[in-house]
Amino acid sequence: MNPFIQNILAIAALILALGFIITKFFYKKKQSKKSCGGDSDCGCH
Amino acid sequence: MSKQINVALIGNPNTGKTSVFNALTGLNQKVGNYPGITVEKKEGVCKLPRGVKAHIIDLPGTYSLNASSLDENVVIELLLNKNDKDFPDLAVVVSDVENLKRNLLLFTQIKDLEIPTILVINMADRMAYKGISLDLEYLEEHLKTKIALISTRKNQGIERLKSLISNYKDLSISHNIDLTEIDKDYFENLKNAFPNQLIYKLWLVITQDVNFGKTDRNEIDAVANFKTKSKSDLKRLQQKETIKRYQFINEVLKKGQTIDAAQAKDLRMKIDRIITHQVWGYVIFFIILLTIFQAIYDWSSIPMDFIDSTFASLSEWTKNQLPQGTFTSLLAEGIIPGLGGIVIFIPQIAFLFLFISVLEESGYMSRVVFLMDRIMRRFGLSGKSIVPLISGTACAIPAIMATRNIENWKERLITILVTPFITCSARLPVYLIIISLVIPEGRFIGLGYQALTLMLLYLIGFVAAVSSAYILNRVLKIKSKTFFVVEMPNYKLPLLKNVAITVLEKTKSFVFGAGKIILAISIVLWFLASFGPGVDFKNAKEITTKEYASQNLSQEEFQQKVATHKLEHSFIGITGRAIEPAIRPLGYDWKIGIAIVSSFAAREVFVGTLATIYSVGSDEEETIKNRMAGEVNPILGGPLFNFASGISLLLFYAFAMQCMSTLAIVKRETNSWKWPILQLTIMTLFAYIVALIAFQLLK
Repeated sequence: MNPFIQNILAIAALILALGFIITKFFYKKKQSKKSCGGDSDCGCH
Repeated sequence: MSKQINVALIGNPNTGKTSVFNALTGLNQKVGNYPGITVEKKEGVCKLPRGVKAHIIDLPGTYSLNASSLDENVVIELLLNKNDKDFPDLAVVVSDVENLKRNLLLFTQIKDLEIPTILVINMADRMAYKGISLDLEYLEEHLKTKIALISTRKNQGIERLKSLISNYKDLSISHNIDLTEIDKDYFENLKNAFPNQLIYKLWLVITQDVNFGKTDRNEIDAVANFKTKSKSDLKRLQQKETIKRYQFINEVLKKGQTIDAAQAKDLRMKIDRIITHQVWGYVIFFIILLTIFQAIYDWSSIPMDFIDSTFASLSEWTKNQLPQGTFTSLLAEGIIPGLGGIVIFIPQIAFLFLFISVLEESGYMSRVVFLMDRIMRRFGLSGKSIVPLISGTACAIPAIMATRNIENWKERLITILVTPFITCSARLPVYLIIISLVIPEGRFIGLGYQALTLMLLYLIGFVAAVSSAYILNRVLKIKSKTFFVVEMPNYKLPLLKNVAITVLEKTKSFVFGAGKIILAISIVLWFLASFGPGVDFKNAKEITTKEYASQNLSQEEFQQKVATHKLEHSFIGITGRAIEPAIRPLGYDWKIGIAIVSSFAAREVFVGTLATIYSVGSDEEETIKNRMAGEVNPILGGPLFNFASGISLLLFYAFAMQCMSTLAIVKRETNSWKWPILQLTIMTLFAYIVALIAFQLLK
């Protein structure tokens, strides 16, 4: 694989990872009132 | 065009509402054989004949419509507010065949709100054991309703229930009780003052102590003007209403229900006497705990070792098979070791939840709640706090939400504040890896030292929770106390399906929930560990060559020295070394410091972070455990993870508030930043001091 493509892929992974962390912990979407109430919405992970 | 109707599932706690919900909707919401599982409403859709869709709302359990806690409020708010989009077209009251008399109190109240109501009598499979027989026709006629006799365990009667729901328009909405028979003058006056209003609804609004956010304010105010009776008179009237309802229920059940004690084959009382005994009860509980922790260790060691070596090989394979480059290194040194750090704990997490699920399903957990109530009262908390504390062994978030059924605000606040001390599943990976590194594998009377240490950590968490509750109880000066009533459900053979669903869901949530964060953090950490500012990082090879010119290093040793130099001067190395002075007295190096900081997102991240940091620049195929075991303390020499630093780390994680999401939920539940900030400061400070003392004493 071309080193250029490797760099692009690595940077894309970094951007995605940073985006995920920021949306998860800093810019939280307003929670829907229609909560299912189950364990999956506990937000602990 | 399809039509949608709102159906509310209502009932006393632990009557199997959520099981009925799951049977109707095909969803897999958490069920358990102890009260208080549902604290918020849950929603799902059930497809009925003729294209009708039922929007099913599973509401928290309540004994009556006289609300005293937040979760009960959810039920009353919905039933009293016709403007709510979820206001039910139909109420399905779920009752338990063994406690029909008590369950019918709530049924008659809902019926009097003129909402079409179906009575579901659940747990029909228990009738033969208890010698119960029912005259359904008689009951339907006198309760003015339709009845579905079902067994969610055996999946019986669900079709009849669906058919009754689709024909809900045929249901009678006439009352069970005539309120004017309780106090003729008062209710006649009320009727005259508000001729267009439903009298029982007005009565409920008048008598509730709580504030109904969604209920029509004008209506309440108008009624409030009418409130001519004193609070104590209203209470007396409420009692009269309850007595009247029970008189009606007794009358109906006298002919509608027969209980033949001779036919009952019930061992329950005998078993209860032993397992809730004030001495044997605790001994049995202790033995069960020991068995669980020992089994977690014994059963999971083989799959754990297999997973660990598989990830090490996968990392090596990726490095060898893919073309060299940044992305390959990211995969082999960042993502794969990071994910390995979470997948390795699947066996232990699955076994832990298997045991918890079996205990819940069998009905034993309610007995544990009863046993713990005796202890809790001495620390100023009621047994109601025990349900959240026990839920906290899975995760503090739902546990803190479960405090909504505690009526007393201060008692609720204390429970919220102390729950994070309980060992949650996120601490388990940290405990397991550190224990495996610093505690020997030997056994004492058949019990492994490692399993005993794990159990001790769970006990330490519990002791910390109740001790801090005791202190907070004194500081916050709780004057009023809530009473605690726990229903002892029947012992049941755990249903394989329910146990399997719980284990699967919990494990899935652990892997995928934490996995996403760990994956993202591993990627970021790998970049921070693989790049760095300045000449020290850039010229690592030249600097290392100069530094070790006099030593005759092998190629492999030289590469290792270069990698170490690079790591120390990478972004993460610089950050880590900046915080190192603060954690050095605890016996940690800067790499552990980085792992502690990153695990503030979620505790499980700790292991993944170390796995990623130790993998960067390393060419060897090594398991996470071996890499950690091979780390050397840069100042003292010897293994970095030794008994002193290991115990210090275990204690730090036992007490520290290392969870961002828990802080967010505490803020939401207390509606203030004051409590989560106090909680974070005090817990972290306490954890730091205890870890410091432990290391200094043991080193």
